[in-house]
Amino acid sequence: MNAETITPYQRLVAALQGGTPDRVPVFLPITMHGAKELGLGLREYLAKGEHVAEGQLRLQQKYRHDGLFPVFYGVAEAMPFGAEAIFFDYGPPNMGAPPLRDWQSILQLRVPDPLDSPPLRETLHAIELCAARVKGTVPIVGMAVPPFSLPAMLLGLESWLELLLFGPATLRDALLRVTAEFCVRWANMQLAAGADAVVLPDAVSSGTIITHEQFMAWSLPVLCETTRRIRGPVVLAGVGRVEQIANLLPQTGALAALVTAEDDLGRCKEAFGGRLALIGNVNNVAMLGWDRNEALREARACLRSAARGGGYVLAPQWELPYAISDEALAGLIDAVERWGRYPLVDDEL
Amino acid sequence: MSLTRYHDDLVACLLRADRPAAADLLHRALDSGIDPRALLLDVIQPSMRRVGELWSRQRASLTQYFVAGRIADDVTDAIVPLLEREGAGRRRGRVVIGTIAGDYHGLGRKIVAAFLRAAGVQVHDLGMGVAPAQFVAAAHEEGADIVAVSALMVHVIPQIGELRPLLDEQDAGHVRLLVGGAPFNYHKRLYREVGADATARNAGEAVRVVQELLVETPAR
Repeated sequence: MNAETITPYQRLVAALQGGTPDRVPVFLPITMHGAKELGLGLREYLAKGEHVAEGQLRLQQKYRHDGLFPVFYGVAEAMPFGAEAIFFDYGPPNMGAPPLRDWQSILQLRVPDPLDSPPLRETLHAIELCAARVKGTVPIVGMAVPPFSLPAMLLGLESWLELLLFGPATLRDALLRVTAEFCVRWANMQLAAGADAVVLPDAVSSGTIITHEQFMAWSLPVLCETTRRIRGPVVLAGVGRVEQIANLLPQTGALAALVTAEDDLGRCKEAFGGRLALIGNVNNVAMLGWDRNEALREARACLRSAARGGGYVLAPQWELPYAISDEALAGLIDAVERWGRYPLVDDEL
Repeated sequence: MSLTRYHDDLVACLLRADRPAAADLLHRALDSGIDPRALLLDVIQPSMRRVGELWSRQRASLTQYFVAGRIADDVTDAIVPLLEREGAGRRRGRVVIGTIAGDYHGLGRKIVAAFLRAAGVQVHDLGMGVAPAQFVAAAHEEGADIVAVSALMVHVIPQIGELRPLLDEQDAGHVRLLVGGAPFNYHKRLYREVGADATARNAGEAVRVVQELLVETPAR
């Protein structure tokens, strides 16, 4: 493709379809840094779709990465179920007490309207505003917490694990029906508002939390069904390790998977076998201490492991902490400009 | 049945996340006349360490660890009192543990606390949302050797950095600071940057690190 005319949208789509665009695309799951660009506190920034849309657009202009991520914060998806967000000055909101106090509450649970959550309403607004400005030129990526991970917010991780391990399967399945329906509904609303793809961050399905066998028995069926019902491209995000389940992910119907710094990029790519594009896996926490040179070095190592043959997107393993420096972020882009241009020059890489 | 066999069977129970089978195994061991202290030192603690090692090598999952934590609770309830009655298992070391304020993720801390208790350590769990000053006050009140701080979120790290000077001021450097959680696992130098004496990647490692810190800790 011609590097002069290719847009971030064309670049990302080419890579997600397994191809080699002009260079390796970069995806930054960057949700908070827009506040600095607008000179706002985090709470004020995350209160309005206008702020987040403008922040995303300015960040994309600044770092030249290949996708907008107008996502507010994970807790927002538990808010229609009754959860409360607790804000901090320098990090994403945490959740207060889980809205479901015990397993029996599952029996009374109904699928809420995502628009009952003010931040989800604002998220849709932010997506619409981004789409009005850059649809078809810069990819817009939404997020929906998948059915197997949402219960960890609704019940708390400990209670969800107890239910999975020791509780009645009927309650587990009843909860998964509700969370699956909510996830599909929310994902499809974002696609309808203008998102080009939806990320499903599935920490509880990862190898960090459950075993391969548990993933096959508990999570994979509901994940496949959810992906099938989402009316657009789905990107899985491991959040925890995915290497041990990497061979199973292509059957979910997702387009790509974001893997963690604990996963081996080369082995994941091999396991995906060209049926799933690979995204990752810069260590977003270690980035806190990086300067430009360290970012260049680490991004180069990722490119060396995964860029050959295409089907690869350079990205941090998950959401970028607020304190990460501009120069570390810029270093990731500089790395793909320097070493990630196709055709790759093996000797330089 | 040999202690080695009990150990191997217990590891298998932990990896299957099979709590009832593990409880049954331990009760059978006690019923067969195995000394509770030998059971703790030669079967339970090495089994927990084994799961910890597998976790470190990405060969075990949280569900397996979670069940191991529950089994550690079972052990604390069933075996540690037997040892205390015999005077053979006097609690070694005092640890004040908590999740730092601003972070609402408490499961890792609970598992670490359970492992430490099963290893004979006296644990005072402050729960979630603990401010630096609360850690320091509790450490002083409990006569703690070690303050153990858990965190999952990156933005709470600066608060952990406030602890070292406060502890030094209060207890003249007697109290050791142990930190753990995802940020420290992903950023190897971070524990030093916040003034901690050590970090541990998992509960099994936390037991080993606590035992090492206790050896180093100056007499109060």
